[in-house]
Amino acid sequence: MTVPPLLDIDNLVISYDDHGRRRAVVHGVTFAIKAGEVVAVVGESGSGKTTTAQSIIGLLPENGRIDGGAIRLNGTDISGWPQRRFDGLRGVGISLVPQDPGVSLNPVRTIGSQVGEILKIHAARGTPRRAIHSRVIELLDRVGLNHPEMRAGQYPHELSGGMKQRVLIAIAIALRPQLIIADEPTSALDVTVQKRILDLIDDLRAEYGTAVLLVTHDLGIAAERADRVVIVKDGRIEEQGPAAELLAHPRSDYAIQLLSNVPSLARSTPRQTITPIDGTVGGQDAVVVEGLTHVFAGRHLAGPRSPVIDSLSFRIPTGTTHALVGESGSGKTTTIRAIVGLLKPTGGRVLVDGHDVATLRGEALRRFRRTIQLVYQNPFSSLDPRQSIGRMIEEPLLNFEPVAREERARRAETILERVHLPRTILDRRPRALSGGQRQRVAIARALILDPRILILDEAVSALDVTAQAQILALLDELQRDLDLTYLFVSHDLAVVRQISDTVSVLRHGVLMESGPTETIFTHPTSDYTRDLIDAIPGRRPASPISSNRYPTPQILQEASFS
Amino acid sequence: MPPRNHFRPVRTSMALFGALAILTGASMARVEAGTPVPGGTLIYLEQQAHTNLYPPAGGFYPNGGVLNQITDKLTYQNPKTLKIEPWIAESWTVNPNKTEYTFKIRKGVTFSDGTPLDAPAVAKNFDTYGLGNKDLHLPVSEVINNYDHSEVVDPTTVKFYFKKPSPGFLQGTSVIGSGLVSPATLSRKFDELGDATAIIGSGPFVVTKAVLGKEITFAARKDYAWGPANLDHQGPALLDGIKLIITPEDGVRIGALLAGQADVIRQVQAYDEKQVEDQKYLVFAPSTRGVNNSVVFRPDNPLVGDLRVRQALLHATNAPEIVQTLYSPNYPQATSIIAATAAGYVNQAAKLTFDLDQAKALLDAAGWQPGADGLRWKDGKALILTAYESQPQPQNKAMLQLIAQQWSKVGVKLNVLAGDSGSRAADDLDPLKTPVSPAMVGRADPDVIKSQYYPANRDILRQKGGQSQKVQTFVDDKLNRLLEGIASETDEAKRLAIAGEVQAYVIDQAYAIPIFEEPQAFAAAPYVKGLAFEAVGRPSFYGVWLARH
Amino acid sequence: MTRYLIERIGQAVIVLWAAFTVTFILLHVLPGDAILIKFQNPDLGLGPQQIAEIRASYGVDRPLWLQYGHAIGSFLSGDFGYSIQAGVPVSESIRANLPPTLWLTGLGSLLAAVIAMIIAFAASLSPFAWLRALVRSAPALFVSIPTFWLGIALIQIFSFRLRLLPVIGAEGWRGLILPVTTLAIPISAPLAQILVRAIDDVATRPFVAVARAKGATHAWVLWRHVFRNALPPALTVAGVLFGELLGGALITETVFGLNGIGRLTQDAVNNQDAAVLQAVAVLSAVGFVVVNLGVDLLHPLLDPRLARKERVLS
Repeated sequence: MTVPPLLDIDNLVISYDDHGRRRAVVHGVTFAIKAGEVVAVVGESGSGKTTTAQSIIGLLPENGRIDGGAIRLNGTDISGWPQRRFDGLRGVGISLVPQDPGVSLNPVRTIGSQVGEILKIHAARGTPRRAIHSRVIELLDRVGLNHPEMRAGQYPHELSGGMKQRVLIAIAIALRPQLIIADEPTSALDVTVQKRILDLIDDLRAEYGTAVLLVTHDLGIAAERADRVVIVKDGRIEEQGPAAELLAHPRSDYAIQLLSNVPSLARSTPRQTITPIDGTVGGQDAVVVEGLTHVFAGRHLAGPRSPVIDSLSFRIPTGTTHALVGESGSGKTTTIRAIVGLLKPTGGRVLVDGHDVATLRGEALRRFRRTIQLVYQNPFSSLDPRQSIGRMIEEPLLNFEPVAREERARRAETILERVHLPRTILDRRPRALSGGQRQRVAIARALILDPRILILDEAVSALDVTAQAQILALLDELQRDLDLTYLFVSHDLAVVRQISDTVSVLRHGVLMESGPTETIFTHPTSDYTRDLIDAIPGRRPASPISSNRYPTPQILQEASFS
Repeated sequence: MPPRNHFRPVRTSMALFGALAILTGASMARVEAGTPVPGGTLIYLEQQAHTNLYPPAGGFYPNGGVLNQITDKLTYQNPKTLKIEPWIAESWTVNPNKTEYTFKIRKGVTFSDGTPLDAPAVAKNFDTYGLGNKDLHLPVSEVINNYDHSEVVDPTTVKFYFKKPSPGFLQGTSVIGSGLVSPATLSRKFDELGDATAIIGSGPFVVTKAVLGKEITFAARKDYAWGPANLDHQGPALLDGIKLIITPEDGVRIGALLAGQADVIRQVQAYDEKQVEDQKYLVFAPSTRGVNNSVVFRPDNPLVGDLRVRQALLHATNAPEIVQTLYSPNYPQATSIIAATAAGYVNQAAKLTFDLDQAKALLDAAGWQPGADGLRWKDGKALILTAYESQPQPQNKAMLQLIAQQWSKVGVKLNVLAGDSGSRAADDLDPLKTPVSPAMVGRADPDVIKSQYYPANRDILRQKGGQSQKVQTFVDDKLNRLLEGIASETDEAKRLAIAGEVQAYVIDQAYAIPIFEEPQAFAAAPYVKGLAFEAVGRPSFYGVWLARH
Repeated sequence: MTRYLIERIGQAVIVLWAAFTVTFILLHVLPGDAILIKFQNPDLGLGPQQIAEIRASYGVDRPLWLQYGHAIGSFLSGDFGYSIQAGVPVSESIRANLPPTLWLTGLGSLLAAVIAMIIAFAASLSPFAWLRALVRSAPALFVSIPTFWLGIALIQIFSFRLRLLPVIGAEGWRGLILPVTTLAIPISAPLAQILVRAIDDVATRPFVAVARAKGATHAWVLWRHVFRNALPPALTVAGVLFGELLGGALITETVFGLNGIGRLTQDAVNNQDAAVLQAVAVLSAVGFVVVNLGVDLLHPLLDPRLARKERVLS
């Protein structure tokens, strides 16, 4: 008799109760994970990959139900287990590294208590608190957190995203489970942090022999980190196999399409530069930033980390795309606020269409406000979710000019056409839309005022690769048709490379380097830029159980001090 | 006013108890059985907190209920005979002109602060009540007319002088509003007299503790030996003390009484009487013996300036229906503007008939023609009248609404307003805004009629030169002359005759429509013995004792 | 912190001044006044001459600005004046009525919080869906019970029928059980609703799934993770419920014959007892300021993100 695989998912069917009707989301998924193996389940949102992962650890949402198939852990079918039985398995046999470390730790309890909790739950009665505490410190140390004693007493908000993810990993490995389910473990993190976290997971897997189920939308990550890849779409497996083989020779159409959409893996040629960069030739600069410096003076109301911008200068020729690249805390947001006039910088100036933003008053200010528009990552978080899409798109008009209702509706429809959305969407609510559709609405909302400049703040970062590719194409088209100037703010270098003409790399408020995109990518001059490029997933093939990169080098700690 | 009216509908929910018994609804009740047992504390539930306890403000029932226990009066008005009998005054003489009253003060009476209740103290009391004290904001007493000054003849003799004949004064010395208080109390500001412990009287009980708005604790004075000479009970009170607790909610008062948590309660609505009596508990409804509960007109308002209109409304009012619908046998139908038990009463029943045909004929004659909307119209105006309800009067709102219903049958509309106190007080002065008003006042002397109608007093009809600047023209000199007569006629027989004349005149002029004789309704547990009421229905706990139970 | 405190105190002073002034103006805009109501009252039977004299002696017909200056001047010097209606110094009225109201409302809010918590937990932890639904509908029911009815029903059942607790002359804690319950139940309802909603909301947050993935039971997670995160919104609502608490206290005090600020206020409103209303308005404003300051100061205790801001910045 052969040894059964660690995890054996057999023709799994899962459905949700959708207002009394059952809607199947996983239709007969079958795959297996061997002990110590890394299996990546790759799919876009709605593919059922997260649902599958949740079912393995018994944490399906209340309206979810396993309708068929089996989930065998070491040969035992756990799919029908009651919650009480799962309580003994979770944390001990299977653990979880969640998607977004920012919201995955309880904000009101200390790091130490949250790591200690898993030990406490499963500890024998009477285990001294001291023993638990020292094990907590050991774990925090093991995942590469400096000053573990201090960290244990801190609250999650005092830690950076990467550090939080390390804490969550510490929790996941605390009891040396056989399987770790890592559900998009790095998608919410900056690229360089992402790389370090994935390295850490690799290390721990090597050390403990733990198997990892890596759930991700990023084929690049899967390619780089997994032994085997399972590609799912609409609750069905499209293709599965060893990572290297699948990526080299994808057989299903979907896998091929997916591969072509991933910027880092795509063999597409870099963007055609439309305009010369140095500004000496041709048209005017739409935006000029000169010696922009900002120091947060007030201490009591500012955000936790006050980035300081230090003599930042760049310019964006009209009709081109400039990318502002940097990780969190690099000063991107502050720069944007200074450009749109929401913040008065301590030093330097910002010229938009030749006018100093800080000196604009009255009518000029109003005109300026129309000239420049923002598109965010989560465009609807500040809007009333009960508003109709049509109303949302029209709304900016209400603030700027008295336009008759019919005229407003007409313009909204025109814009809708521009962003390739059906007219029927006007009466819908935002929750009925997909991520890509929402971003199109956000763009439409920005365009209705006929702006000259769009600031795209991580505008595609939250999207699946397919949607991302479509939005990027749309932006490209709009730029050509409407002669728009873009300031594209992102942490994702792969995307930046695809869309921008020029790039500025920002770190801790200091401009690391600036220049034409291709030059920067092919001949980076700063170490930091090189690190960033290096961290783009999928640039190197998956390595089978990697060499021991432990101990964590000092560089990993950087984010925590910003 | 407390908020009782907001909560009216609830009382029906209190009908949880059942049994059967009957007790007399006699207005004067004194139940005696067996040998009095001294001791014990009586729990007395009052509906409203007392306000200012300056004795002349004792007309407000909650105030009277407190003052009557802690103050003595110069004279005692026998509630049965309405005769004036000795109390603190052993004897008195009055000159034929009724302008000089001489009282001989009982010896050895002391206030609870130890100061003697002697002639100078009595003089100070009546100087204050008769003249007021502006510096202390103390107003004059309603019951003392034409007061001039006092004279202390000797420590036990005091003499009062009046500018004009003041025949009502002797009775006026017997009312709660003339309760005798220590000179120390009278040297306080009016604004401070809401503190029950500050009211130092010579009565059988003393306030030992007062929690504002919640309760008052009374203790019996063990050295009390100067009760009205003609009472059966003499010496100190039988009870050790009284605990008066403010319980605004009607249902809670009755429930507490029936559940044994209280001994006596004030203010029992007519519709609650049955459940109390069903439990073999006692309902007392002593008459207030004054001006009956009535609605009066303000003839300065042109709508009711016409005698025929007022008469029409008088005949359109079905008083028996009101009494039967809303009240109980403890609320006898009125037969004059004053109660049948009041001094000087003359029956006017023959003029107070309910007669719709006559009412309609009178309105027709006055030129008010029925319109299409059922209302009566004249010169483009509809006959629409307004009245504010008077919250202290029992079920006054329901009564006014029932009257409105009755009047609507002859095409007259009566709007009944609740309103806030401020609007009510302000609008009440303007006949145009309140052509109709509910009215009643309790006092067992014909003076009460003058008090109610005379422009310089309550001016209930709102005459020019009276309470209100808003009155345009209305003055009734004949009425005023008669009223002055009541206040000044020295011959008692003639005085009562004038009182009778006034009653006839007011009804002839249809200034008022008397509805019922207003009692004060109390309920008590069956073991409460010796509960007595003074002439206008305020309780006296002096002779009360608690039988074993 | 000092600057924060100065700001808060400044705000408080403005709120108190506004309360005083608005009350003053309102009282003068309304028809009639305390003197008129007191002395026009038939119980005193005063004539027009006499009433005019009294009005003059109280100075109620002086120019408005003069009265305002006088009122605010004496108020600042600690002289709150007299209740015209009751005939006692306002300070004494407040002294007699404030403690019972503080007890009633204090214990009432505490009990309301406890009831709300019980409902919230039962709504999440009950083993059957129907039971959870039932518990969830309780607040809606509680909200619709008028305080007045509730008080009467409790008195009927527990005092008059079962004779467990006296209503009349009840002293100490025995006298507080029924009134506090009466006040607490309707107040608990919005708290419970907010708490249930907040718990539902927090329960969907990823850190709850992480805690469950550690192997923690439902109850463990609810108590240690969900509840504390669900408290801040409930706390905010608790601050807003201050007004309802006062309204409920008024009715409760009336039903149970308790003295207190609620009844004092109602009597004062009915009689336009200016001095009392001025004091009560300022007192309520003080209460409002204190409750909201308390809520603001409690928030950082519940949520360390608010508390350690300064440390992180430095």
